[in-house]
Amino acid sequence: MTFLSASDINKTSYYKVTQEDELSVTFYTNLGIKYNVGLTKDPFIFQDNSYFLHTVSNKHPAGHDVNVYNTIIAILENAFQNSKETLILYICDSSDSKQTARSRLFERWFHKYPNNKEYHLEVYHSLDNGVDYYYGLIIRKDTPNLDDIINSFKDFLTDY
Amino acid sequence: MTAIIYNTIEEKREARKQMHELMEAKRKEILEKMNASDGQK
Repeated sequence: MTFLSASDINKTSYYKVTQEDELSVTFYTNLGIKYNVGLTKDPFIFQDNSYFLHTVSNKHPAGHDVNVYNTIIAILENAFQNSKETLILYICDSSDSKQTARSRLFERWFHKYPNNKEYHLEVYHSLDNGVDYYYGLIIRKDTPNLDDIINSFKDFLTDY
Repeated sequence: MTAIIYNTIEEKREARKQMHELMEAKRKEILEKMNASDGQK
């Protein structure tokens, strides 16, 4: 079963996180921006062990704080530590039309992540009613039936 | 890991729409809670 543990996350994260509930934590950056990072059970694509990641901040950050990235990575690693077959999905927020930048930033972060060889990141882009959407799937590379899972993810997002 | 099966493209489109609505509702709910707790400080 997937869950998040603030005490375990705090062993490696830059910012100290506080437990909100079983599937979410909060933290404050040096600039006083509050983040809530957590997981929501996926009821649409896979039947089990699949979660949507959310990262919500109370202010728009000015510039990129690499320590936010380090903290989010520690949170994701914790989810995978607690259940190796966890599958994490994300949708880049498009409410302010900055979804393309968000997706590129996350991909850049992922490729810089020292343990990224253990994980697969699949990014899917679609254009729907004139809006660009970016979806991501993060999964351990040793998950059984990895290719089938990636194909199912893409199939859900495609009209055929 | 078992994928949920959709029999038609319309079903899949409706599920995608609901997925976006779920995540947007989640984002708004969290923001409201954050703003409420900040207001109490």
